[in-house]
Amino acid sequence: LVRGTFRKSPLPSLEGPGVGDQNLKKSLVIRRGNMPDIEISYDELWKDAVEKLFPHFIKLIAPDFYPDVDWAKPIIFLDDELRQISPDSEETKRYVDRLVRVWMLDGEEKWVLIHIEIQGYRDLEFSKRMFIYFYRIYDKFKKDILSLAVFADSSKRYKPDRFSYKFYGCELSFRYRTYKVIKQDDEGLKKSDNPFALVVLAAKKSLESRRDEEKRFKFKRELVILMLEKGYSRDEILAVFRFLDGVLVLTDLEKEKIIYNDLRSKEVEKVPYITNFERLAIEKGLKQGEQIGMLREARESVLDTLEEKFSMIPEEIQGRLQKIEEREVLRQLRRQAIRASSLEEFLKLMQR
Amino acid sequence: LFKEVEKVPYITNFERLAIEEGMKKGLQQGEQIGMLRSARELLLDALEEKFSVIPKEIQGKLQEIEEREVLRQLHRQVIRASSLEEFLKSMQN
Repeated sequence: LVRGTFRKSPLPSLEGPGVGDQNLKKSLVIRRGNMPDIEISYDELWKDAVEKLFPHFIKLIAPDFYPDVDWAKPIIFLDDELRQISPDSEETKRYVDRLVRVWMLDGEEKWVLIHIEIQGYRDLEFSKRMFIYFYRIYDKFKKDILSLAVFADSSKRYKPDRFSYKFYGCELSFRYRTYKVIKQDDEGLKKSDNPFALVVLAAKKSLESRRDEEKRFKFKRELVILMLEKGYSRDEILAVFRFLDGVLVLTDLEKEKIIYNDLRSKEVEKVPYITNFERLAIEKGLKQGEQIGMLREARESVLDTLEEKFSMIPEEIQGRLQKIEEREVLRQLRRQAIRASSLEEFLKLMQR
Repeated sequence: LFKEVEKVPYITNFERLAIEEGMKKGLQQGEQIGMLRSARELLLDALEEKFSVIPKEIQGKLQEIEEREVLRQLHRQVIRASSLEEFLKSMQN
């Protein structure tokens, strides 16, 4: 029996500013009886999708910035620098962030800070965190920064977009760009040729079907077909697919199988990663299978030899042979079977 | 008591299904390959055990046989044959 539960409700917490469970997890746990539970991490899915589809991500979320970037130049993810300026320790983080270096068409180097909020977490500290990122990068690395906050939570209203500071005539207001997944329009996303639009759509559908497996199944099936119709490159399919497969995970493996078979029968060559996994597993299976086959053949050849020589095989011998798991032992027994002049002699040899 | 948890950012359900599918195919094919390979080896074993020598041309011929049933049949003939000549004769048929 397979059941799925959210470890923590991802609904907005109303506990107040910055107050919350420090161990809040952004993951879905699938319980599978005696087998190990599966824990799917939404952070990893987002992190991967942003990294693998970065130009598409920018094109969708900051379309005015996109044409000024020199996309022929390398895009660098600045993980070390990000660690140096991160306001929170890894343990208390409840979000995904990425710091990226891009080159503009005018030759200038600019940085992009991406912050993805996965929990619908009413967090007054959020804007402050965005501001801290900004001033630390500004101070330490002296770079212009495009700060982008993506809200992938289920609350329709939660969308802090500025940090304000006022103190006896001193004032500061820091605004950053925001993108709210749940407020996006389905039809627009479906029509878009941008692979990241499908990522956003999958995330939105995941929020809309959190407690409705049947709905989730329908969404997933629909999105997989839509993805195949889009004519994306292999790498793009790989990135989109992993995201939607993970974010729209079904707890009923039989339902996953329906979509999987759908997909295999239609467009195997378009889904290289599926075939890659299959190929690797086939190789592993071949090796294991060969051992099994060799053992089986060795067992049967002992039986064949005995049957050929003595016409009948006592059942106890058959049972005992089944228990022998080493091929060399069976091979030895077979030689003895050839040499033995009677079944009694062989049985005696076998007992040793 | 801690329950074992598989952290899966990297293996999704589809990947899992692909692995299952691949293992099934691999095991089936592998078993056939293993049985054929083993059948050849065991036939040579039997020849050696019974007649002490294995003529080179027989070794070559056996490598060419791709059907397990044929090898098994030959194996029975080795057990039955009272001399190498008798076996070689039966092999020609």
